[in-house]
Amino acid sequence: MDPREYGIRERLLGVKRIIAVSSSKGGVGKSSISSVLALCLSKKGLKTGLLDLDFYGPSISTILGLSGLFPEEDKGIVPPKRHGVSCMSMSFFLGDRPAPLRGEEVTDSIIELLTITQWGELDILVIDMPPGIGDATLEVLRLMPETRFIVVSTPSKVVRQVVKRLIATLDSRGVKVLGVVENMSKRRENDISYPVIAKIGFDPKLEEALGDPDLLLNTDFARQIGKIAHNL
Amino acid sequence: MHEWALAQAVVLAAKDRAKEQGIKELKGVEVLIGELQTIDREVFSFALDNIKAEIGAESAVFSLISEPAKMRCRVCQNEFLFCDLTEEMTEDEIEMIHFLPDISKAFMKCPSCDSPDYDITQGRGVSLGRVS
Repeated sequence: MDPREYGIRERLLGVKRIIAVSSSKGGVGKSSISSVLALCLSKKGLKTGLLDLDFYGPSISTILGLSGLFPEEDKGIVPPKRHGVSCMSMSFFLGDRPAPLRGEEVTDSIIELLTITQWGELDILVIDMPPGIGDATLEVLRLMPETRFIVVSTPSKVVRQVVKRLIATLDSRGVKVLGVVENMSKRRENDISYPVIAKIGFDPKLEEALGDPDLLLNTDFARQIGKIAHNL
Repeated sequence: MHEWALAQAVVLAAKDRAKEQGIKELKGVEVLIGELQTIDREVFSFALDNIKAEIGAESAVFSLISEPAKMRCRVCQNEFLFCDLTEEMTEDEIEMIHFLPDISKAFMKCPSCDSPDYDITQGRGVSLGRVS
């Protein structure tokens, strides 16, 4: 076994719950939902962490306004806090540079990041997943098998179809899916076999609020996400 | 000082490996140190010595073996060394690779064809060698 995996076990000892926000498609709002969910959970008084595993398109830095922040070194790296949320993202190390990583390198980077990140005591760790059922999802299932999933969909037929495949995959692995969040929601019907735990309409104020947690928490989008946080 | 986190992982892995191999008292542990991760050996050794005492493996002696970092370009098949490129890199860039070696792709390219699509064939980071 890779020696770093022994370190990962130690690093996660103080983390009570892990929730991954996932989808089969990009652009459905995973990063916005996971970032605002983390803000809402922190606002509730929970010690909250946010891990951005979307290495090809890390976004939580833009959404929460993390520029200028960097992890401190203390027996590993300690995630900087923004609005009470401990945040870890590849963007701290890459800045705006692209990282042309192959699958094995993504896996290696996830293992390395989890090995050295000192989360400390957390009530909940939210993971912003990359789209699809690729290396990151498989590594999360392997290294953090207690992780629960929230799956993000949209009213698009294409998205709904592939989301069903993601849910079927998670089901087949015995992974607990907490429910589906339908983002940019317009319709009422639900042909996905999991309960829709939130339907979130398009919020034109969300774009203007990006980068500012106070403004984000004051959007209709956050009010809808807050209901999910309340029920977790 | 993120070397401490890696050292802890190595000590725990060595102890478990020894148990698997039926070794009652851990005496010697080889640790391969890949050059790409630019580990501070002094800090790493200090952390190893402290952590081994914490988990009852005081008698273990850790031998650190350096591995040069080698790359092979997937586009032009050129083989090159990390140490040949570091002069052109900033301290900050090397520091970022120190945290996450695979993101070297963002900071250095094949010196022959300028592609970032290369394999790290040796010397990526810290790994466990033989235990006795």
